[in-house]
Amino acid sequence: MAGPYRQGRLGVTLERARAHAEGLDSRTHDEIQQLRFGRPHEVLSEIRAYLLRRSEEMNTKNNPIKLLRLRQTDEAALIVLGPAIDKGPTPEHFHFDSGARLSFGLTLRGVDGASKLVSFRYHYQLPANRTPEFLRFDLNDAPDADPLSEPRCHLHPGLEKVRIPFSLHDPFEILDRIFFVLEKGL
Amino acid sequence: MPEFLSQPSVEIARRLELRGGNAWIAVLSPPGGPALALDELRTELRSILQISARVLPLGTATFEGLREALQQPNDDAVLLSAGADLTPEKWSSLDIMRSALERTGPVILWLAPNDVANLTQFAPNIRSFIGGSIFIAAPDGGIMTEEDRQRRVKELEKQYQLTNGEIVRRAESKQLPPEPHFVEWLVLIGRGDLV
Amino acid sequence: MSGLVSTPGSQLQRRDRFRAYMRAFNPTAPAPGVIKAGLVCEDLHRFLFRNLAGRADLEPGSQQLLVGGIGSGKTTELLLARRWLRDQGHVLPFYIDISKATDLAELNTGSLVASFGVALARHFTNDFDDYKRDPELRKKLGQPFDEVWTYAYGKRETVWVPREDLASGPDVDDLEDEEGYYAVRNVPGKLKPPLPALRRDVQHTRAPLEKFLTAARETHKEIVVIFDGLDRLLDATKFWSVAQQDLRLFRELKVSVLATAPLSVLFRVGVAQSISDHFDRVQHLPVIAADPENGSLRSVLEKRRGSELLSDQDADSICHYSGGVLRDLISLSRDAAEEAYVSDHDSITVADVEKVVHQLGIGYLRGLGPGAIETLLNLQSSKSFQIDQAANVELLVTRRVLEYSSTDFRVHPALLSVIPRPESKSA
Repeated sequence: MAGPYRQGRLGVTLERARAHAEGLDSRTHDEIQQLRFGRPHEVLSEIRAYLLRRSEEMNTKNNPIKLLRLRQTDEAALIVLGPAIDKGPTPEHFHFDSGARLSFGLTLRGVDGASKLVSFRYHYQLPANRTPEFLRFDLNDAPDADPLSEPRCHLHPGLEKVRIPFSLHDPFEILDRIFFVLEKGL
Repeated sequence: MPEFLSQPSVEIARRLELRGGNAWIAVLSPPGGPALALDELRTELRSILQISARVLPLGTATFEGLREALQQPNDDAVLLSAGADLTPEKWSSLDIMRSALERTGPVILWLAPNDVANLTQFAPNIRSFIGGSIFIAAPDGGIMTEEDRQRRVKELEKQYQLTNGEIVRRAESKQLPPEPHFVEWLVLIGRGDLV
Repeated sequence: MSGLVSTPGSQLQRRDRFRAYMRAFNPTAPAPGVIKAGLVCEDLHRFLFRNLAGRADLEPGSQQLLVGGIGSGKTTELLLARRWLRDQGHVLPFYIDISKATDLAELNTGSLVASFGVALARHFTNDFDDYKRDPELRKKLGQPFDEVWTYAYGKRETVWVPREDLASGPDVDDLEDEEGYYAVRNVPGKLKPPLPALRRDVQHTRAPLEKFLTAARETHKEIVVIFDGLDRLLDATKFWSVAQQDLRLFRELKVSVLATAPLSVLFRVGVAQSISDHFDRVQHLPVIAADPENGSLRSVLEKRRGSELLSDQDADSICHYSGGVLRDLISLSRDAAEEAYVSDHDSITVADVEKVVHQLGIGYLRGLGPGAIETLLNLQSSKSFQIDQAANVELLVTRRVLEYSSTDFRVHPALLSVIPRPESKSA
């Protein structure tokens, strides 16, 4: 029988779940709004240097200097590596020793000589015959009307329609988890 | 007249990282936008070498001032900015004090394109330290080409079966989902204002 | 499809291999570290350093010059000489890079003596255990220490400024003492940008120096001072104008001197004759010929394990295009490896060597006018080179022309590979 939430009894209503998801999403949104990074070309430079160091520690050859691209307009800047949609391995992906591959896109907006985060997607495709098939870390550019189903920052655990809230927003913290946790775990 | 090797800043920084300590190079500023090129080089030095990068103008520097500035600290990257008006006497003074300029962190001579002649003529000791490590600062090769941009837009159009026009309309009427692909799409077609 | 897969661990191994090579081939590494790391071929100049050091030891007060072009290995030879002298046990050698101690552009009479005095004083106060334990010694050397230090670095002194020396004005009117006031004045020393110095000044330091030397000679029979950096004064006249008086005092004190000097000293241009006549020995450190019979340059590469990345053929090519200038040899070897690494090669290729030789050559080419180019092409074709012409000495100093002996001059091979040839006229 459903009862008050958090009183040790079964009975979380959908409305309460949505309310909690809204609260979590609101806090996430506030945190992200406060984050500041360097100018877009500085962020590109740092990501490139990060990937260069990781490349040198791997057996698989990658050339981050050729892979990373920046598109800058007056309003926003987009840093990408690999294709927007993963439909199979390409030379533009970042390839790991495990057989996994990475593609990502990161959008920034300039503000007061720095930049703030708008959105990102980090698509980590696991090697063949592994489950889940992929993990994708997404940041939407705004909260959704239904944050329970679509939290602003979320992880797709191999399922496009499933989104689990995710609390890491710094691009380097996500890359750290990919290189030092996911790769090591395979 | 044969030209020096043109290198984007990230490649110059990589070379310095590979060399290790006591490195000396010269970088020639591009004809247009030297300030931007210098800023890019400093950014890459910080990212690749993980050290700070200072710019010291040579024109007004004294022996004591320069020696002290290069040693405190002595392990960051220092860009010595020559300026087109550095006199032969100043070049000679710099050359004479070359030993006092030696340090652990890299020294980058930031030169106007015509300064190499002055360097060789009036500062042969420094030129000897630099050897053949004279590079022209090239634009960052990481800028997305038009071909690449169009390819990405086509990729998104095919995936979502929508046109650029439809994306813009939906964004203007606040009906576009907030997903990262659509944000990127708008930036790719130059409508970052709708993000 | 995956990224290109190397063999396991090979990326890291590749990086480590190239980095180790680059460390061994660092043309700007401080010479003491390079010697200590065992990367120096001590017999490269047939153990010249032993000859220089031996004479300095056997002939107290002797004065020898080591003259060579930029990047020829002078500092290394002098440091090897210092090590040899130290190993003898009875010699106290001092190595002083005068260009680090003071602004050579402002160098004047007394600077060499001042820097030697400071080094000698520091030897007692910092390094000399007996001094620390012996209050009598400290008492004996305290005043000479102050005198030497003041001579070198100047002092602040309080002076009385009489009223009549001041211009009138509100500040003067405010003086409490109607006679004048005390002011603190900086008196600069020899190792700061100096005021013009009186030449008799040098002799004033003789007394304190003699006290230090007497104390030093109680434990070390001979004192030798090695001055590096004077070759940076590219003009022989300037070198002589500042060194002459100081060197006279060193001879009087029976302190042997080894010093570097500008290349122009060798060629009897202007004051060069009187310089050579003053010294007991003027030793030329020539460029090393890369002839096939002479394996010296190859031995430099092998000492640093150049074969890790260099084939025999590329090693020979680098030896040739360095012209025998040691720093250029090391630079080309390092640059070729760097080129190979960024080009994703597993070792140095012919293309890598060609690229870096080209870079070195155009560095030398920049700034050469038509007249200079004609001189160089003439030298190449007819071996003719007028060393008494100032413009030609400049070509030597800037290493466009290399001296293999006092009569054998050649165009730097890297420069020769890029120098524009005049178009041949059709008949």
